[in-house]
Amino acid sequence: MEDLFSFFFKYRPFFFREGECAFQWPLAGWQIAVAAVAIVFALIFLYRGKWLAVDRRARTALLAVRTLLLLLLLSLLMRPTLVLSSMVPKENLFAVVVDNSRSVAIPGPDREEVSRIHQLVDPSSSFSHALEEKFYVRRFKFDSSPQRLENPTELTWEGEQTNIAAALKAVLAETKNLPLGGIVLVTDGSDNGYQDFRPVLTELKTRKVPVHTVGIGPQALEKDVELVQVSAPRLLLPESVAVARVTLRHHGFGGSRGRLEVRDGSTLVQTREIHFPRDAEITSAEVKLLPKQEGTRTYHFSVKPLQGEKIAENNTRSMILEVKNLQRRVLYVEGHPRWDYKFIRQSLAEDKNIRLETLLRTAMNKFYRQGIEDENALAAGFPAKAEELFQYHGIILGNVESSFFTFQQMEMIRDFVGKRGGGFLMLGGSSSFSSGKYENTPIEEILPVWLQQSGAAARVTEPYAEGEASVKISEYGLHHPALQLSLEEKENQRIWASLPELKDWNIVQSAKSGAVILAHGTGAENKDVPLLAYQRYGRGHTLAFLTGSSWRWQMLQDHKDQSHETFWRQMLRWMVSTAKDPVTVETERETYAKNEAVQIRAEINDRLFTRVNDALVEASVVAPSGQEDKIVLSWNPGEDGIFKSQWVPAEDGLHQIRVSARGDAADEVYGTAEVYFLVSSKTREYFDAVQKKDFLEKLAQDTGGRYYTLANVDDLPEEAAYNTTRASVIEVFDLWDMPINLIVLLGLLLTEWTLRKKYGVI
Amino acid sequence: MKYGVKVIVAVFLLLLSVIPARSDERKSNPNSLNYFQFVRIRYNGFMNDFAAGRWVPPWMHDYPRAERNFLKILSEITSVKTTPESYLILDLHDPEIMNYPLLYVSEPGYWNITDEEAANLREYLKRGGFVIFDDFRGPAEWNNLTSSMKKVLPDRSFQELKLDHPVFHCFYDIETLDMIPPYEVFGKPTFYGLFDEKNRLQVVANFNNDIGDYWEWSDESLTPVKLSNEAYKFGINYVIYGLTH
Repeated sequence: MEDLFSFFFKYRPFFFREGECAFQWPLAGWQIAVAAVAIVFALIFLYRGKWLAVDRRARTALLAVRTLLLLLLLSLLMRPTLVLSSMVPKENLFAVVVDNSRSVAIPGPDREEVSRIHQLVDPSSSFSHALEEKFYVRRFKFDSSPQRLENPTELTWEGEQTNIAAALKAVLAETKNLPLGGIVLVTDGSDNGYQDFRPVLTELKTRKVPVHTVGIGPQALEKDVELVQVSAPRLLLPESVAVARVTLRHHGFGGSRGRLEVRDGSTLVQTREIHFPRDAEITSAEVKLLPKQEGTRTYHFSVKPLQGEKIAENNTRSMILEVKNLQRRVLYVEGHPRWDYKFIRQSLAEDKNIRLETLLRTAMNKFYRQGIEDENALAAGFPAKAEELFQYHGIILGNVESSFFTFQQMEMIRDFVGKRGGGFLMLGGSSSFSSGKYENTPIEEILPVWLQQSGAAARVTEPYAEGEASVKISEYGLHHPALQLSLEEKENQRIWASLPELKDWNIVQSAKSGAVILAHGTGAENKDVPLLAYQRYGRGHTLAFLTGSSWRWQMLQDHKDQSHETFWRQMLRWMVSTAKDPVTVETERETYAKNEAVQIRAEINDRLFTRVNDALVEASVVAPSGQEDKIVLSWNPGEDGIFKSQWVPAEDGLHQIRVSARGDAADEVYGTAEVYFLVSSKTREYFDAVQKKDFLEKLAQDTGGRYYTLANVDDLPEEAAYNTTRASVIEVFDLWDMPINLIVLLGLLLTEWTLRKKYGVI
Repeated sequence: MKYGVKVIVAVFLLLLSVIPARSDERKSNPNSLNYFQFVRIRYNGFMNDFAAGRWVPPWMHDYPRAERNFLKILSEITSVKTTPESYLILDLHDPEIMNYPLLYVSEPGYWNITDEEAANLREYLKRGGFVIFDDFRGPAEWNNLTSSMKKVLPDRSFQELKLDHPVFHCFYDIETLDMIPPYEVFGKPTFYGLFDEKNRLQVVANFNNDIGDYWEWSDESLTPVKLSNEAYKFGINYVIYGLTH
């Protein structure tokens, strides 16, 4: 098609796309217009003469053809041209950068493709000759970083990372003071360097360096299953349920079934059948993990390769789960001795991860404290100072009315959730929620439900009811980590449906718009009322459990049944999950490749959880070999309390980062924290190993370059030369002698001759 | 207004005043689960009540004055939600006992335990229930209780409770266990307990003692106030302990 175009128009479409049209006739525009108008009027005048003995219709047709003919001749006489800016030969540098990562070889370029790629970097190829006629060429190969390429055989496609940004950045740095006419980037575009492209793009645009991209490899795999992502919490208390969401992508296996296996280290802990939908490439599955022992555990998720699958390496992903006894402290305030108090305490009695410290009002101004370690703890009742309260990670308010607290204490509870990030739970009872007159208090502000207003007239119904209500768990609740009474979904559903009925419940106005209802209670009138709801509030989250009779799940079921204990342990573990320590550290991701910068981010708070910007934050990174590097994290302006740094791993395996933060004064210690990350380079290139055409087109377009394929890359040397740089000249291409002009002229003459013959004026 | 109309209106108003509102009726239901219920156990066994000169079931000794008086004191002194009428009687073999995690058993010396009762009580205790045995004395009655409880929990034995046990300090700080019984018994009052495999107290037994008798007669001048007071202290501590452990 392009050849046909070139035949008629003398030049390839590229010239018309890139060049500007101009007439080389030395007349001004208005002079040309006057000439054209004069020709038109002269012809009209001439053709109105009686010498032309034809009817009006024929006269008009003849006039039109002659006018077009003369105007075309006039335009050709004015010497139409295309003007392009062309680089001066051998005045500019040109970089050919070829992807040497493993993904290029997946599923494996055929011989022809390999040969074509080699030609792009082979100095003796016609492509190179064409390029070298116009440029000084430097050749590079890259994976995680670029290297100069001397010989095409150096392309092995065994690199363990594709870092395009790093490659472009290095090429720009190497040619910093040289006229760089362009970059040819030969790649599949499957970047896994996770580096910010913006600085590189800015420099390319500033220096006006076009990146011409050459896309290699298929844009989709015919038969493949890929485990795209596994998302799960990174830190967990022992014996807590972690819900891991596994995302899978498939090509060509719609309607098939696969088998997902989960291994804790090398021990198979779970298997699950996966159904690949016909109408979607992406599907997901939830896997519930229940690690019982402390330690840093590596879970491997893998889908057994399906018949005909081309890449098996992208069927496996790993994640790290740090299982740690964090000794979370929960303060439970109860206004009346009651059975729920006893059985909640009992269910948590042997939980080493949650220390339930209870303050029970046994009589007016008389308290019974349980679970405390320090003799003086809670001796004066509910904490009056934030410093004392913020030492806890969760608060439970039982059957206790709002007047038990001062307004300041309620504000403190609100800050405990919003600022400190603690968990909060209110239990049902005849003195809680609306019955405890919490409406219009800071506690109502944090609750996930709207309370009924005071006064019988304002209330829709009684705020507290007794009777029999069964528990109906919501779809969301079925998958919530706090409500997993069994790791098997159907069994979990069955257990919830078989729990003994509750005997009381609080009735609220409604759940708040940002709240999630995990369970409903269904009474005799078959009317659903919210039973368990939660919402985020500030940095923490709050829960409302609108009954005080969950103890029946213990007393009315066989003593071997663990539903009640499991529910409360999981509930409290999840409740405190947002409560962080004053010092925390995290990495941007949990898996990195060798030589890839690991972004380290620490958050530093004081005891009142006010973010600190002037701390001295030091980190030590311990590699699997035991090698320990010490680094200093610096405050990130604009983000209070956030300190950042980066570190580049040199070996595969599990790494540990330990951070300590202190103030100027020697005794001002904010705390320590640690986090783990995995360096795994072997299989990374197998993921998403297809050509990213959209990305390559966008990169070329943003920098003024073009996207090519191996089929049309031979046009590149010629086209790449037409670009404005410090060393370019203007080139003019005549258009008057295009074959199409002659064809149109002859066509018009033939038309006129035919018309004249038809009308008898020859 | 005619006299007849006045009478009708007056009668109507009078009726209105005595019909309680529905919600008030619900709230005042003494057997609501929102209230602590004192459950007396009815078991298989008889004894001769010499004072009354007839055979009466031993399980109902001191009923109902003991519980009424005790519940009145419990509701007045503590923040346990209850009423003087919040008591009931249940059979030991009845699965309904699971709804009430604290039971009171009087005169266990005459308890002629059945297999069904043993099984139900065993399950009750394993689920977390708490039982008070009261009003028994002498080696024969003690042997009857221990042998009965062996049928319930074969691998458990009663242990004497010492003053430092939390059950004696969870509400009142009881200063001594040297209690004077309400009437002459055949030995020193002693407090025994049964513990589960995790060393949690599940059963208390007031041997050579009858604190229920103190409760029953506390509104009469049969026993000194100080001694009745001590009996209430033990009872309240048992309930608070049962509700908190």
